[in-house]
Amino acid sequence: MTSSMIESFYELPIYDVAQKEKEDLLNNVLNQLNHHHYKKCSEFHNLIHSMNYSLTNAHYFEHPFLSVRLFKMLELKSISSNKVFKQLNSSGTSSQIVSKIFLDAQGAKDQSKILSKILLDLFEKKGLGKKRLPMLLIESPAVVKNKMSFSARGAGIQGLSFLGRNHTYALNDDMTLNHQAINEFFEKFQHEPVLIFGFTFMIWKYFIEANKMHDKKYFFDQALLLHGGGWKKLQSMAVSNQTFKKGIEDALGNVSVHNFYGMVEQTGTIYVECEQGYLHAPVFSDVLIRDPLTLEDAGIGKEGVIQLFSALPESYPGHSLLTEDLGTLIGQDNCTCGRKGRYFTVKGRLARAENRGCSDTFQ
Amino acid sequence: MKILNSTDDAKIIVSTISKKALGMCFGSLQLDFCQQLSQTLVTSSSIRQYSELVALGFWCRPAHLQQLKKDYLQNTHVYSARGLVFHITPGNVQSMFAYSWLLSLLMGNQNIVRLSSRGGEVLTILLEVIETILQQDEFSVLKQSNQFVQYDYDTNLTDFFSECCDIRVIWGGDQTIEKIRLSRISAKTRDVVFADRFSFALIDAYAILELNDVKKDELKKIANSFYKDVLLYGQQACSSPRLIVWNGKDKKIIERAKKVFWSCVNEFLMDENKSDDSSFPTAISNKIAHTQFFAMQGLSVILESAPNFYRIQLDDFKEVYQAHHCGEGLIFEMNISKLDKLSEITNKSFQTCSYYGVELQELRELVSQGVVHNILRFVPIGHALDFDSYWDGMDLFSEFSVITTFS
Repeated sequence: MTSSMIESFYELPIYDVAQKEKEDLLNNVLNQLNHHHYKKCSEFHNLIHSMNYSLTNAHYFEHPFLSVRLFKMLELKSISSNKVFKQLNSSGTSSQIVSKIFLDAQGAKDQSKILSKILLDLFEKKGLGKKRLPMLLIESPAVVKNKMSFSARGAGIQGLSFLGRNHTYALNDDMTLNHQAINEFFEKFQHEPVLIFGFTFMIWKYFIEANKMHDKKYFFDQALLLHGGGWKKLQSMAVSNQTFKKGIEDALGNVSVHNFYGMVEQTGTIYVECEQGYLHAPVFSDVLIRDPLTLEDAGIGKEGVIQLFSALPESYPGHSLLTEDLGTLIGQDNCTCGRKGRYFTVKGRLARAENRGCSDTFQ
Repeated sequence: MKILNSTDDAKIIVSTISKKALGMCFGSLQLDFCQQLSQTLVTSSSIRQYSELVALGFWCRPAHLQQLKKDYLQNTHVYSARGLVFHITPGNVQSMFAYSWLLSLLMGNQNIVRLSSRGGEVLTILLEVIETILQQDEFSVLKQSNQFVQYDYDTNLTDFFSECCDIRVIWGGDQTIEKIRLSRISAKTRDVVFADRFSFALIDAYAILELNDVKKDELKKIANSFYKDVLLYGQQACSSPRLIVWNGKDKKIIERAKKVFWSCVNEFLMDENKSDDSSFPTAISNKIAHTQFFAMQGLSVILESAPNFYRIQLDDFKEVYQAHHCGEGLIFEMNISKLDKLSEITNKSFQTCSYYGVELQELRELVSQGVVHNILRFVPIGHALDFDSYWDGMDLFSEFSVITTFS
């Protein structure tokens, strides 16, 4: 299969294709991806046979899915080793074992292209134009230093960096505020549109709370703050999305705050939070919620395990993944924000996912 | 239970204990305590739903302990307490620590029990019961010489207790054991370790088919016994069967027996309670990940009425399969044509074989003649989880005591 299948999606509007039409388009690609990985990835091939899955051209909601955990257990790829252009690693949260995702040159190009399309669409909707913005990263420069093997944080930053200019790291290597860097950035760009990016927990702990302690405020005229990485740590501190937004308003003024959901196993296709607080599937990908006990399609309004589809992954079999996150499908085509397709919320990870070893240690 | 924050806290614990004398083996004080514990666990209506606690209560009932006492005290050697025992308990089976602790207590030792910081409902209830009984005046000595502690992973505290103790009990996994062993013990201190273990069920195909023909009820009982052995602790206990070895000369017979057996197992649906358990979706997600892992190795997979059992057929047994078994109702299956083929399956981490339809005498001969190694325990199917003072190939009463000989 050639990359033209994905490229045919490049010209589609990100959120203006109605669900039914989008399913037809995705169905075509996802069926081809099934056959492609069946041919190219021996583990995927074995899986189809051993589990008695069939690869008929059914709707992709009926397709087999891969547990996202498999990328931590095996090195799954549909390209030969000499074609690996970049390896992405997840940050292992509850264990030291990381996911390994292999991209070829085309895959790396596709995922950064699609990521930028999704985000430029957001820039445009926010009236920030279509050009690169001055970018403040709530990170220390240390996190991107190792270019050979990126952590999820490093990869996320690198993936988004090209949407910005005048990249400024707000934190020192020891995670304290780099006041000088922030002040310089603020003085230079406070009256123009800026992009602020970071991981949810890091922004809260090392930026919002730290600035509060120093009684520092930076009121930008027009800023877009993008954050992702999950709410797990903030939930344990009882910080809700609302509290988070309020904290940011207090520190940065009139900032439009957008959470996003995504994972290293499907880099490129991220799910950005809309003005109503819902995550939207872009045209390149889709979402299905499964009942956590029966794994049947849970439909709209019922909490379950999130399954993600993406038309992107060709170099590894990651086009249909059962995640370990719980979420709820809110609806399709009818969000008041105007975006088409499916939209949902994410509640967090399954209780103690992957931490129930046969002989759990006590530590 | 005390939460420790520093070595100073630990020193207080040890000095409180060391002021007390050691107890007598099977002393009446300990037996009285066990009787009250047993009575509470077996009769309390609020505990009835926790079958592992009821099982513990049944195990420490007076009649059983009297029998054990008789067996041990008849010996010509004299058993006596060793001293201070430091227990490091597991997080996966919350009530497990109680067995080794009670055995040590019965032998008259003083005990420091480090509880898993992960805690859990069963652990909380059990501790409450134990501590309530220990509050009574008559048990004040036991209360002081048995300390339950919790601390965040801290090498200093583990170092300190390891230096002080006479016996150190470590419930695994293997990684924990290796890590704990970095804390030194003195030359005369003994480690009693419970490492990662793998257990299986051994079923004779002909015997199952025979039951199907003449004793359907009995077959249902066997299926139910197996079901309970597997799922009582979410298949997480070291003696929970994770593999069924089917014995039968004819492959077709085995296939027929499997069909009959599994259709019977499937009649026992998952407990109503279990679906409310918040960790249950995690269990399913775990099981899917691991099952798909095995499927990716080319092993054939059968999904029984979801979400209870996922079956994986093996042609040969590899340790990598063992390492990736996640419990929760994942079952490996293998066929053997005769019992001495068991020797090709077992390895040093094997523990319990729960059997049905095979002659115990034949198994005994295979072990005593050195044909089959590494199986530490044969029990009838349905009894895999019954705790015994002989565990992991050790006589725990001996491990928790010193033996004096007279001649």
